[in-house]
Amino acid sequence: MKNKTNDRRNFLSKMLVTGIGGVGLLSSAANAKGRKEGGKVTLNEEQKDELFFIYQEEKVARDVYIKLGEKYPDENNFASIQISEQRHIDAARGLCEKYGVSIEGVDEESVGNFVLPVLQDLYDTCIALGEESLMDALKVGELIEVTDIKDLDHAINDMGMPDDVVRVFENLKEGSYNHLDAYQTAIARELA
Amino acid sequence: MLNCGNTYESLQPEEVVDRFYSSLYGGDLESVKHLMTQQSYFMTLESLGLKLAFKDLSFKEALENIEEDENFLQRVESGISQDLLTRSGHPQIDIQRVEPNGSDRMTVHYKEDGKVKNLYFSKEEDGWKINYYAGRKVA
Repeated sequence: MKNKTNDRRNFLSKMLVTGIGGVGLLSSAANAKGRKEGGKVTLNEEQKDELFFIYQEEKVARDVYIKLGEKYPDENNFASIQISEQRHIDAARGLCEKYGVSIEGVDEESVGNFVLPVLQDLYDTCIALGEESLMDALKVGELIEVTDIKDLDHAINDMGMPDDVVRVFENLKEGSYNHLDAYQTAIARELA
Repeated sequence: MLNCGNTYESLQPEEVVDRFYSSLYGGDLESVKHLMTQQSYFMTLESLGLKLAFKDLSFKEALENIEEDENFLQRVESGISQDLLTRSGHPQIDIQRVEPNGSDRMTVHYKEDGKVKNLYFSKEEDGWKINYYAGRKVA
């Protein structure tokens, strides 16, 4: 059963794994490193699909933090990290534009609304859990960042993305580590 | 519940959308499984199971391992199925249009309780399947 799905993004399963794993060994796909056509690097269909999905998924994180920031206005992390998440969206959108990946159908301005039902369900669940208490909201933030890091690790190591895409993803991952640290510090503060 | 694989193969994408929602809110994950790519099915379980996993560490462990262990998968499917049955009401689904996307993809535009939604499909060996990764516009 695993063979057919071991290159998927794992989505929330990554969110649920405790601790952050190290960088894995490169898969055979990693040797692809994009494809050069007439001197121009292009992405294969799977890489384009991955890029488009990452762009949509980054919006989930931003929108969750916007909503939880409204619920807990005294918790500065939600306000500051949502701004950073917008940069993640900008970066993912930039890559989509560079590689000709259409982002048609995604309304970035519409906070909390997703045309894809699985992302809507994910957003709704995160909000419902986060609204129960500040501690739960911080744990939701922690889980989202763990997911982001794992997803980016996968995109960096398993998809054979070109160097410029890998560089952007490495920067995003560094940002996610900072967010994770902020949420874990806040959780410790609430527990104290 | 449908038991014949051929029945699923003959479904058009818009029919799959209706079947998906009726199966989902009926807690019939066995049918849901046949309507989606395996990747999208697991993503669906992970999303639906998040609430349970957040409160129940043993369920969380099972959800983390649905791909590796059939017993964990069954436990997760059972828990989510029961949870789905407690949800109030089946959303109203109104199909708006079906849009081809290249030769082997389709997008079904519909409204779920009045909210605009899309489900993406890819043509697989056993018919049209919901595929969350098939939403990118193909030139």
